[in-house]
Amino acid sequence: MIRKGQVTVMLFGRRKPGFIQVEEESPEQAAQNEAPEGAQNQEGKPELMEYLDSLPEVEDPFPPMEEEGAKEKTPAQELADYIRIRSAAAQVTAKSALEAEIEDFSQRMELLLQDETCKDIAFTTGAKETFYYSRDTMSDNYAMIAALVEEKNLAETIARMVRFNCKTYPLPTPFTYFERHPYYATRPQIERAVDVLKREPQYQDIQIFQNSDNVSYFYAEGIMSKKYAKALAETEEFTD
Amino acid sequence: MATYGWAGKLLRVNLTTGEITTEDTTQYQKYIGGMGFGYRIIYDEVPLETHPYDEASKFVMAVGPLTGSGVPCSGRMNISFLSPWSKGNSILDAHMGGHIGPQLKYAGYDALVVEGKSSTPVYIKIEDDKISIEDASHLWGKGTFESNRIMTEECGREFDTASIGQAGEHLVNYSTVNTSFGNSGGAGIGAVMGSKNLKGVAIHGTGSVKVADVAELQKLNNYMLKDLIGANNNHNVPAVPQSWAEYSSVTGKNRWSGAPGRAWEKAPGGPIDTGEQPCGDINKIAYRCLKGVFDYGEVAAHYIVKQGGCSSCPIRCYTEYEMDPLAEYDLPVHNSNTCMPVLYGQDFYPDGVRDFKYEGDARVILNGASSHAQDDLGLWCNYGNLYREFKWLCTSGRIHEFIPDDEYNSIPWQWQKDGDPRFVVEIMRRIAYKEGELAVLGEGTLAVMEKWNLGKEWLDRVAADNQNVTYNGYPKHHGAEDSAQIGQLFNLMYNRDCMIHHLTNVAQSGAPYEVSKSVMEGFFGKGCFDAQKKYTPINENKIKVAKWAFNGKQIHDSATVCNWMWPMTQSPSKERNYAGDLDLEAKFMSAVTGIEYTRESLEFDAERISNMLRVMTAISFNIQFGSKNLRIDHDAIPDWIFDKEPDFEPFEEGTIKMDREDMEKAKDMFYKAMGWDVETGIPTRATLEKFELGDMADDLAKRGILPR
Repeated sequence: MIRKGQVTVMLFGRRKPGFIQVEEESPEQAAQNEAPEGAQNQEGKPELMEYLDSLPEVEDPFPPMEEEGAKEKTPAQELADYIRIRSAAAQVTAKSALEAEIEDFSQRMELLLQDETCKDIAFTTGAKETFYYSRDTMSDNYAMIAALVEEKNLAETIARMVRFNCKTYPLPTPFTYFERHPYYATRPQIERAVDVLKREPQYQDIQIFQNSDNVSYFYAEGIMSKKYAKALAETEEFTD
Repeated sequence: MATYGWAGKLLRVNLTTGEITTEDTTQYQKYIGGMGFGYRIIYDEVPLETHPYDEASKFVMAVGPLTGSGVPCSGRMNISFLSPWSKGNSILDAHMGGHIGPQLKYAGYDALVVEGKSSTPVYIKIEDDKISIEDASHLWGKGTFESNRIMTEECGREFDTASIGQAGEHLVNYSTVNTSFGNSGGAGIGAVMGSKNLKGVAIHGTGSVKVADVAELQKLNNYMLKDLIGANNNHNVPAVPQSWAEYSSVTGKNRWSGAPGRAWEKAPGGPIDTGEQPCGDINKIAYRCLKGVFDYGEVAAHYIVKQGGCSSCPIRCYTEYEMDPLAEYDLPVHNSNTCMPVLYGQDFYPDGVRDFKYEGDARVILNGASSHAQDDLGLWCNYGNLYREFKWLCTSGRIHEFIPDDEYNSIPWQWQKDGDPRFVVEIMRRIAYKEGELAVLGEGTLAVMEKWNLGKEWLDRVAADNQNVTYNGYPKHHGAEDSAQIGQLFNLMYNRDCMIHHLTNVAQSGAPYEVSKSVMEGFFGKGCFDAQKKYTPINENKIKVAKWAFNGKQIHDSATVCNWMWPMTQSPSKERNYAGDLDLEAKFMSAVTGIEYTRESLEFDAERISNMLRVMTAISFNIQFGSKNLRIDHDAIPDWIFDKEPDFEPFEEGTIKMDREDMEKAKDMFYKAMGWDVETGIPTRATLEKFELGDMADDLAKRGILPR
């Protein structure tokens, strides 16, 4: 039986019998826990508005907020904002899409590139077209990746990223790399792309091997030797 | 006397007499705290001839000036004692995170020294200055989960508790103490406590850590969280591409494993996607480490409830699971662990495993069963050697040589064939209860070798299950594979696996080599940091790195901060050129203690601790084997390190196979840099006196092992 003046504490949210701690409440705590007079209605429920009305008036210590955006933005700045919003959502913006939407796109872009407030706007060139992004929120290398993903040419994407990874890190690239964000390629898609890589002359430097765990890897001949690529793909015993 | 940083008191509990006393710790402050306090106290009070399980043996649970101060990742506690299982039975440490270290500090103590032996099972209850020795006869025989639950119930929910399991009670050398929050310290501390009839400790402190410069502490905190910290192991680039990041881990395998599309799928209320976690956005740091996905791959997310972690740590590296397939086997479904016990469960099934609910989930579920059993029994794994040696036993074709037929026939091998998670639980139970010949696996690698007459060549062989980096009974803990000679050197220094993460944190960060190289060379000079599997001969700058890492570990275990996270060598910040800040430990020490520390002065204090370790090791080896030479008797390197990968020559692109002559040169250079005698690897008098350890030099001289 829990008496008035006691507080039940459920340890860790358990509901196990006998695992409820009962703490005695001191008279001071009990007084503190009493609600202000008039804060309860007849059913014992608090009436919020009545309670708030019972509080003394206080002055707002903060000055009224100034209106933002008093200065109207130029069409070029609006375009920059649009690119920024998409960049913040991890998306590059295709030039072709902008041209389709904006009649005077070329003029606006020219103005944008001259605008000091738009220095964060950059572009990257894919195999087919140009993509814009804001360097405030998107890195150059990710823009390159996002552009490749937008162009939906998986063989080209694999070739470019395999060369990039061999040169930059330097590491061979597991097939699984392209199954993850932001590529999300399926294994059948990767296998079809591999057929293209084997067939097309511009991709003949892209080579494939399996490590001793039968995990498939790409590497770029000419940037990395096969022996080194295979050695790097052999993972050490996994420890923590 | 309490000062800034230090609580100022040491608590001593004698379990033989029941006497409970406190002492001022001011005299120990030059040893920083934690490990430093532990080494000095053990050296002063426990003759190194003492058997670890004798009544005269002691252990020291100690924290440092940064513990519980609010410094990020400062929830660690260090436990020092004599080794029951590694060669020489010398000084070693167990370490644990969680909340119990800060509780000890808030209760007003820098250290708890436990001595003597109780006649009946007891636990120690610490509530500020109210200390009592409580009856634990009702806890004896119970696992750590149940024991911690009961202690918490008896003492109150505000208490943090730590308990040994059945392994500790049965004096199994591989035994741990485990907290009510799921953290464990190993290396045999469970049996050391068990030998004293001490089931556990329960601690609640209502005090605080006095901080000299609170504003500076806050400033440093913000700086670290915004500009320096990455994910678990301070990996500084995400595992998969994120839009704000220039780089990501090509292998997809690093500990910044939170990413768009990866979720805590079993979170109450529905899945929580971990999303992007940009550098500088401190409110998203806790989503960076999705450790389960790092450990097992994407399939783990199906069972993840959330990430948990230690006091003052924003990283949250403990994945908490609900593994419902285990319910079918009447095994606990709620599991959490972040270290070795969650990685090797499948090794108990060398013929293969089967999935339970999702493709590829066998590893997840089997490790859930394995890690829970191991934690509950309070069984340690010697950084994986327990699993490796069981696997070797099963696959070597020699099991009938070592396990008697009746015992062999009593093992439920059908469960192993079926991939039944109860198999690993049963094997661990037998080891923890010391049942049968199989239990020798829990006595240690050296005990296995001796009992089964395996000979030195067992440690020399090239085999995946042989990771022994010395002849002393313990495996490498991130060695040459990450940092060539550097890793090999610091793996030689302790009396257990070294647990140094300074180099692996950089090498496995996922950042491009040139980026990491630039950071490291900025700190230590040209040629100090090799590319993966493309290493160069030893040089002076690599020795600087080795010395920094070795002494740095002592800083972390003494201050105390987490060596999985610290030091802040790299940063995720492009604006900083990905460089971290190696002065940060000293800056925090200054802010908290009010004493002006520099990186150099802090490393000097840490080097004092390194020298204590070395002296105590030399004395133990002298006592046990009459050794006068640590270079030969402690720091010898097994052949496999030099003989592996027969298709490669040392220094060839593609290998980390080491070169014998080069490693001996590396030892020469390292000993010299440490001020140790090059021939014996033992500190000289001049070195010891430099660190105010003249008494230890006298001791070495008395024993005839002080270098001339």
